[in-house]
Formats: sequence, structure tokens, C-alpha cells
Amino acid sequence: MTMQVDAVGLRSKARLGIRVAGWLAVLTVVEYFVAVGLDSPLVWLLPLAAAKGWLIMRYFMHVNEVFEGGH
Amino acid sequence: MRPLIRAVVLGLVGYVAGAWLTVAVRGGSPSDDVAVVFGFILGLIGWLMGIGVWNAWAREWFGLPAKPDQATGWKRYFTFNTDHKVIGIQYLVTFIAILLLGGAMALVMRMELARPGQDFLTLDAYNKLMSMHGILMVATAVAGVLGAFGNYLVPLMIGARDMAFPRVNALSFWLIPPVAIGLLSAPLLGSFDTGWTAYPPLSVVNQGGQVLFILAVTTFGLSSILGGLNIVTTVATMRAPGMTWGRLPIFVWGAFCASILSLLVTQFFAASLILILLDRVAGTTFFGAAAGGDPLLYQHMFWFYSHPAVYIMVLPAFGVMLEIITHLARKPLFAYKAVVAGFWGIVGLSTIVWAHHMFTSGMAEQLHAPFMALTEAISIPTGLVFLGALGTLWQGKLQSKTPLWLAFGWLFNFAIGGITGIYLADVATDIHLQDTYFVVAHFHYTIVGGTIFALIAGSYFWFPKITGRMYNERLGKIFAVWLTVGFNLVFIPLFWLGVNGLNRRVADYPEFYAGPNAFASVAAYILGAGFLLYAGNLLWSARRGPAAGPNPWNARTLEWQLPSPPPEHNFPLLPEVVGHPYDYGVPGSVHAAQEAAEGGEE
Amino acid sequence: MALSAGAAHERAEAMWRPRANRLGLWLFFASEAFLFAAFISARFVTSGTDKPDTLNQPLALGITVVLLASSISAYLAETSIAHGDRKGLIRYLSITILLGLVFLVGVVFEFREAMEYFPPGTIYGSNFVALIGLHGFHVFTGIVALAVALGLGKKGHFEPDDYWGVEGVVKYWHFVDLAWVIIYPTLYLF
Ligand SMILES: [Cu+2]
Repeated sequence: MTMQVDAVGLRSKARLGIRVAGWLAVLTVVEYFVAVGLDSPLVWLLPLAAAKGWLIMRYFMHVNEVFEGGH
Repeated sequence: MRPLIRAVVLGLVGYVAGAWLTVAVRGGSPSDDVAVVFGFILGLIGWLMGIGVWNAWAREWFGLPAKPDQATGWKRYFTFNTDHKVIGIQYLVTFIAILLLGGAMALVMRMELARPGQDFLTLDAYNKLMSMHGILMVATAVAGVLGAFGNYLVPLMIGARDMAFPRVNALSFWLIPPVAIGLLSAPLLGSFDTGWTAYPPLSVVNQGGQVLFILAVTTFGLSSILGGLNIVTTVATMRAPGMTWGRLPIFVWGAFCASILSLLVTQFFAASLILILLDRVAGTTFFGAAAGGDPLLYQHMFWFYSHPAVYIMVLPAFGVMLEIITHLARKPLFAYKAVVAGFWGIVGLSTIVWAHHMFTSGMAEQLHAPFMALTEAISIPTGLVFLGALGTLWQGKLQSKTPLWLAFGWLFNFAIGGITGIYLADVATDIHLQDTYFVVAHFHYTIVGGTIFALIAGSYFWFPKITGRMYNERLGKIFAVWLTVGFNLVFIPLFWLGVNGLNRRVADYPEFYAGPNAFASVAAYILGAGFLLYAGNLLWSARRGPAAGPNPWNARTLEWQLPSPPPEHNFPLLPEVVGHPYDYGVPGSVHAAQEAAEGGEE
Repeated sequence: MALSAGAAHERAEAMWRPRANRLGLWLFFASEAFLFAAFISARFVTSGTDKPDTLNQPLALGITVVLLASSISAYLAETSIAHGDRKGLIRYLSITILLGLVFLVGVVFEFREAMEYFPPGTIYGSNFVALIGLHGFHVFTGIVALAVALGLGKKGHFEPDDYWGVEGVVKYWHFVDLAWVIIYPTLYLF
């Protein structure tokens, strides 16, 4: 038995992932220039890293599913 | 026995291959630190694959069907068996054996200490023996109660058929033998003389046996982490219908809270040991002050685990003792909610008090007061637990049984342990008492008096459930008195020695300290002899004792509603929990509905 | 209730099994987070926010982007099998493994270069060795796990309603990326 490919669902989910990845890339570049450009970048880098971490946990790792049942 | 033989052979092959390959690549000797590291890692993998990880598990990673071992009867205990009851018994027997071994080492130490002068152990040999005794006993306290009763009882008490991850559970246990082998073979490489705390700089520069210590203890940490993960997941997701958090048996709460700590903070012990290993084999300088490293970093990381470790040891022990007290006092557990809140308070506070071990280390002075205050605050949640125990005993219909006799001994010991802890939490007195026998006496009162007493009391209380037979009550009571009195006779003199300035970890002492030392040594031998009675009673009763029936204590928690020993997968049909487990004497109260077990079979 | 005992247990397990798997994996991540936290705190305790000027910043940014890209392909692999696209699963898992290997090669290259400027005998070098080593080990195990999932996927394992193996491995890979999100600024940016 071959699987049915749900192409529409797949495309919309894939688009969401790529959009999140785009945000991650933007934040990474911002992070880099903040670090290179500022003298003590600590206060700026912490929220940037936290934002990146949240994006990964929320959209890539689906952390919210731990607190729900089923798929 | 075939899996065990296979595991030993593959483990040895792995060790030799790892050590030999290291020598082939970089030269040097197979007893070099690096060669030991790679030998141990490959040996560990070989051991695990041999015992059954390959057959029962890893084959699936390559698309092959798993072939779990089908052994039955006593042979199950020597295979990669995933039944939580088998694993609980494996833990229980293994750690009681390690307890007796570590106790025998203590007797050798007490022999040396019986009178002043060096009699038969050199200062160095004494330190190595003390270190081995320390780490074996710490391991017993960490994994004994939680591993044995946590595994055996948690699924039974919550109405589940097994743990959430049975294979991970089997893995947790089978990581233990390599730990024991690694530690006990450390003398081949010069042993380790740092105590169980392994402080640098000594642990960076001493003999190769320290590397085996590091590898074994890190492996033990992995076992604790996986075990904790399993218990937390099981309790969170597999409770029977109606088993709400508010109806959880108190032992399950203790095991759950200890598992949360174990799951998280154990990593700091692993990390601190890995950094020592890197300093030894990779040329790093974390603890070399000359190049900017910081030996105190180790102490902070180590105690960030090792203070909460005390509560990983003692929270399940609280659970065991409160179970025994409430079942045998025939009363509802007093202040159940306050006790649970106390457990949570301990979990929270235990991670922010670690530096009370470091008042004389030279750390920043402004840290002294906060760590003192936070440490003393732990007496509040611990007091709630005590309140629960005492309130349940108050006006209870006390059943005069061995576990309850031991519970009274435990209450006395832990009270002494708790009160003497205040002098060590207090900066001013601690500076005087640091590294004296007062510390030794204090932590033996908490760990032996608290946790090991629970291990022993639990091994009586659940003995009929585990074996289906009853132990000898009269011998049990004699041992309960023997243990409690003997233990106190050994350790009370040590408080006096400590207050008067006798340092620990030294094989010799001035004439001034001779009397109490001789007394403690004699008492230690009396205490040790008592364990023959313990082992004899349980071993004989396991084979010849009278049949115990499913519920000799007339207790209400779920494990007692099943045959003794419970069948594989515990419950033919999942029980329906409808009330609190401890409502003894409450008219019309029911813990679990039993009619489900009849209706559903086809 | 004419359900047999066996069927009842199967139905019950179908209820708790996915939750148990997810919770167990997240607890494992929480535990791992403590391990990383221990190493990261060692870096700040021993060397504050000092960092050498000789760090290869462009290379570090490059491998960061590579690892980020591997997270997208891992996401697409999981999304593919969830929607019944086995070819997509195999394609994106392969890409993820490839990107993981590129990251590892970059790390090794960077590591060798770094060890000349600040050898392990210096305190920053010590932290560099420990953090890169710890993370590199996780990348390595992640690649092995992805390869196992790829092998099973090629053999026809995993279905849209049964792909925990892929989901678990992919989550682990994201976790490795997440760890780098913290370690990258810890070593290179602060
Ligand atoms: Cu402490």
C-alpha cells in the first residue's frame, strides 16, 4: 500500500518552516553585527539568543505539544 | 547466564581494543589515562551490547526485528529483562550487596582507628580505603531506595503495567555493574585517594585509579538520569483512571520529586568530573590556578549536584517511612498536602544552598550569610515531613511490626542528623567543625540513619509482596533494636571527637582521642555483626518463610491488592481509583474499585 | 464494555504512549540543558566575557548558518513524512546529514586553527575545547541518529500516523541546533 501524499498540507507547513528559518537567519546576522560593532554587547545578545531559542522550540520542536494530548 | 557471559567477554574485548588502539595511535602505555578512557568507553559499549541492548533494542535501528531474551525464573535476573519488578529486585539485591561490602570496608577502617598509631594501614592506604567506602556508600544511598523501591513500587502504586520506557529502565540497571567493576578495579591503577568528592588539584595529579573513578561515576550519573527520567514520565503519564495527583501514594511523591532532582542536577557532577578528565588527558587547565583556572569552580559545580543528592537519597526514604508509618499506624496520613508541599519545598531549596560546604574554602565572604540562611530554611519543609510522620503516629493503632520499629529508630536518627546539621550550616560553628568527625557523624546520621534505615525497613515491609513469604518477625525486631542501638553507639562518640577537633580522613590520632575511638570501633563490630542476622533472616525466609498472602498488612495502596508476588504486567485490567489511599478508619472510604477486574475478561 | 483485556490495554497505551514519548524526550533535553549550562557557566566563571581577537569570526558565522539550514531540512523531513511524502523524508534527511557533516568539518577546521592561537593550556582555550568538544559530540551522535532514521525510512518504515522515530531524531537535531544558538554567542560574541 502506498501512502497518500497530502501535498497541500505539506506545502503550507513547509512554508511556515521556511519563514521561521528566515527570521532565524535575520536574527543571526543582527547578532553578528551587534557583536562586532558594540563594545559590550551582552545586554543585546541575551534577548537575541532567547528569541532564536524560542523560535526553534516553538516552531521546530513543537514544545507546546508536550502540554497537550495527541497530534 | 549466556547474556552475562557474553557481556563480560565483549566488555573485556572492548576494553582491550580501546586501550590497545589508543596505544597504537599515540604510543605510551595501556595504563595511561587516555588509554583507560577509550578502553572503558569501548568496554562499556561491549558490555551493554552483550547483555542484551543489541538483541532487545539496537537491532531495530537497522530494521531487524528485536529479539528480547525469553529467560524465565531466576535466570531473568541475569538478562536484559524489562519487567520493572525484576529490575527493582536487581537494584535491591545489588545495592544491599554493595552496602555490605562498603560496610566491611568501614570495619577495616574502624580496626585501624581502634587505637592511636598506625597499626596495619599506611596513611595512604587508609585514604584509599576511605575513598572507596565513601563512593560505594554514596552510590548505594543514591540508587538503593530509588532504584529498588522506585522501580518495583511506582508502577504498582499508580496502577500501571510497567514503566514508560521499559528498555531504558533495563539499561539504567545494566549500567551499574560496569560502575562497580570500574570502581573496584581502580586499585589496579593505584586507586584514588580523594574521598568521594574528588576535589582538584589532587584529583588532577594523582594516580590513574582516579580516571576509573571519573569514568565509573559519570556512568553511574547516566544511570541515575535515565532512571529519574523514567520515573517522572511514568508518574506524569501512566496513572490509572482516577489516580489524581492529590491521591498519589506518598512514596510515589517522594520518588517523583527525587527523580526530578536526579534528572537535572546529576549533570553537574558529570560535568565537573569531565572537566577534571579534560585537565588530565586533554591538557586543559580548568583547575590549574597558575594558568588562570579556578579549583573552586569544581567545588561549586560538584556541590550543586551533591547537596541536592542528599535529597535524592532521602526523599524516597521519606516516602518509604511515611508509607510504613501510615499503614502500620492504621490512620490517614497526617497533613498529606503539607508533606507534599514539604517535598516540593525541599526540591526547590536544595538547589540553592550548595555553598554551605565551602565556608572555609576561601570563596567570596558575601556568599556566607545567604547560603547559611537558605540552608537553615530547609528545616521548614523538612519539618513538615516530620510533622506528617509524628501526626500520623499520634494516637494511631500501632501495629508492632519490624518496619514500624525501624521507623521509630529512623525518626530518632534523622532528628539528630537534622539538628546537628544546623551547626554545620551556621558559618561560625562550621568554621570550627569543618572536616572534623562532627561532619562524619552528622552525614552518617542523615544518610545511614535516614536513607539506609529506609532501605532496610522497606526491605522488610515489602518483603512479603516481593517474595510471597513472610520474614521472621521476632528476628526482625531483634535486628531493628540492634541496628538502632548499634548505629547510635558508633556515631555518637564521633560528635565528641569532632567538637574536640579530630580531623577526618587521617588514619592516626593523638592519645587524647583514644577512648571514644576505641568505643566506636567496638560498637562498629557489634553493628556489623547484626547484619548477619538481617541477611540470614531474609535469605532463609525468602525460601522457607510461611506464605504471606496478598495483603499481610491489610494495607490499602494498590500493590497490596494484587497477588504476592504480582504477576507479569501487574494488573489484568486497569484499576479505577476512586478515593484517597490512606483513609484508614474513615467510614465507607474506598481507594480503588475492584469490580473491574472481574467484568472485563473474555 | 465487551472489550478484551488485551484490547483495552492497547487502547490505553495508544492514549499515553505519544505523550510519554514526547515528555520523556523533553525531560532528556532539560537534563542535557543542565549539562550545557554547567559547561557554559564554567566559561563565564573562569574567563568572564573575555574573548581572544584571534577567533575566526567569518568561519563561525558560516558554520552557524549551515547548522541553521540543517534545522530547516530536518523540519522539512519530519513535515514530509507527516504528510505521507516518503521521498521528501529521504531527500531532506540526506540533506540534513550532509549539512551536519559540513558543520563538523568546519568545526574541526576552526578547532585546529584556534588551538594555535589559544592552546588548551590557556583558560579560554580550555573552555573552547570543552564547549566545542561537548557540542561536537552531540552533533556527531545526532548525525548517527539521523543516519539510522534515514536507513529505516529507506526500508519503508514510518507512516503519517506512526513516525515517532523520525520525530524524536529530528527533535534531537533541533536541540543540538538550539544548544549552538547559546554556545555560539558564548564563545564568539560576548
Ligand atoms: Cu549540603
